[in-house]
Amino acid sequence: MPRPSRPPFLLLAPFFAVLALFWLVPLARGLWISMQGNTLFGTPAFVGLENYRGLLTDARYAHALRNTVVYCGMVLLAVLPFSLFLAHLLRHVHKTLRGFLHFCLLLPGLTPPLVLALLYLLVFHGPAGLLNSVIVRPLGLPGVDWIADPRFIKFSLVLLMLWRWTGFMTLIFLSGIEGIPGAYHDAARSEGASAWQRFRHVTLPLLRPVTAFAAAFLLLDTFVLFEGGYVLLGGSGGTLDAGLLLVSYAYVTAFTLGNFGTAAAVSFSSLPVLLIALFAILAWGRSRAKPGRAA
Amino acid sequence: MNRNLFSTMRVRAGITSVAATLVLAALAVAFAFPFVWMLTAGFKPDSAIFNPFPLLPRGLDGRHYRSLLSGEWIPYQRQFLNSLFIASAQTALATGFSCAAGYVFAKFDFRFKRTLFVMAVFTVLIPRQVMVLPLFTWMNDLKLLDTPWAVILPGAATGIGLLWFTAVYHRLPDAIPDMARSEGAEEYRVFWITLPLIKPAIVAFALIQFTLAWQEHLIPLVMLFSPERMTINIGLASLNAGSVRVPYGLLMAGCTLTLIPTTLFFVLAYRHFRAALGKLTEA
Repeated sequence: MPRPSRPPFLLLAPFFAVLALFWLVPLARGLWISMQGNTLFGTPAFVGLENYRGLLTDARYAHALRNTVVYCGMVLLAVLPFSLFLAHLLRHVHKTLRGFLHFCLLLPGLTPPLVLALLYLLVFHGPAGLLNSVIVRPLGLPGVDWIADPRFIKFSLVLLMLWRWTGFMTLIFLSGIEGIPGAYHDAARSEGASAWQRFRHVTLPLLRPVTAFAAAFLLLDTFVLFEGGYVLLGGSGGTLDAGLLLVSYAYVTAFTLGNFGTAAAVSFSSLPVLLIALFAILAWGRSRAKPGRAA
Repeated sequence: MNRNLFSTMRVRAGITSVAATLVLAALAVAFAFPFVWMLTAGFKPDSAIFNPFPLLPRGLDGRHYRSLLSGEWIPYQRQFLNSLFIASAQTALATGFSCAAGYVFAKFDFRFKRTLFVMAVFTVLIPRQVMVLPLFTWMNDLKLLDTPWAVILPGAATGIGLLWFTAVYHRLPDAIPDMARSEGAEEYRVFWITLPLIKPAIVAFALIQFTLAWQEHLIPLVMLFSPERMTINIGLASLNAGSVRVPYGLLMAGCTLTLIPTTLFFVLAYRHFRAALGKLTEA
């Protein structure tokens, strides 16, 4: 095999140029800003880890951090199993209808979240909105204010993400399932495995790389979703900050309140949490589960 | 006996199929209804918008669209083109750069490769929205604020993209590049030759990237401030927040048009998308 003496390193150059200029530089600058005082004009003083120390006693920060973790977890746990289920359902639908039904599910994914948030406000939300008139009232319950009642704010955000990503995730799972060679299923069937056993011991393990990809993708988008909270809750955290997320908290701290130092500290302190979660997901996806082995 | 069993199975499959279709149809209605409402609202007079029924407008009233496109509220056409340019440029750069880098990481061995790869992925996986403040001051120093490049350049690399293309190139058999090499092609030419072989993966990734770039909100919101430089999402948001009386008909007309590019791209790329994703599970 004629192996070249030198890899074509120039092909790495553009990617690493962008990485250096628009990741490493802002990261370094952000770290620097996070160690400065909160003066908007003039030269800010160097305060070391003071801003981070301040976060430890900042109740709103703790709230935003907890909200973000809970909300990301809820989105992953709601969207992934639901999409996997829908992907299986879609396989049973006749071909002529399949494309159309799937397109309806995908439509929200093709829509800017700003538009989704507006439509959520105008169609689902409100005393006469669909959520109340179709689901809540028929159950004999009083109408719910989905974005003002702190008990339901997070639910609204999760619902928005479910609406946004279910179609795309279903598409990813559907393609993944169809990529599984039929021979695996035939072998399991010939050994008398039920449909559920085949799903549990053939489909799921083989889908692991796809699931990890979907989970990482979803987590990244969920973590930074700003438009949803920003439009739905009018730029605040909503009632009692029940919908306050880290990204919007950092934005408001920086661009509304002008506390650059604190805002940078908010962003930076959230990074380890996100990166550890992503690392765990991707490492899980790479560890190959062998089909047929109970994992 | 056997034939009986076979027909029971067919009946069961039929029942499953009908049930699956019904569940999905109900969901499809719930998911898509707001879009139908949005489409029709753009053709209704403002007074009739909030009565969902009758759903269909009386006749096609193009007033909102005319007023939207005339630019009396926001420079809509200009902002639409800005969005198209920003999303296309970001998609082209991000796809090209991650594809080239993924090729080198998947097909060559060099010192510290593993370390470099892991560090690159986990740096670029940091969402730029998290770094919005230092990016803002950095763009200010570079004199790029209020230009499309302030949005495009930080989107020109993606961690997901690097992971994606490295995985794709891992699956590409070495035989084809090796054949080109044995015919004397130099290394950059070999890379060029592999591109058509992974076309579905490229199109699939470009589709995801374009959709995300088209939907981006926070970075353009911070980086662009003149109305004629804004992207369409920021323009529509200003319409929703800026006026005392929100022109809902106009807003819905504007929202409807934002769906066209992504939907078109999606319909054209659907086949490639399915093909590329299916490969992820193949052994």
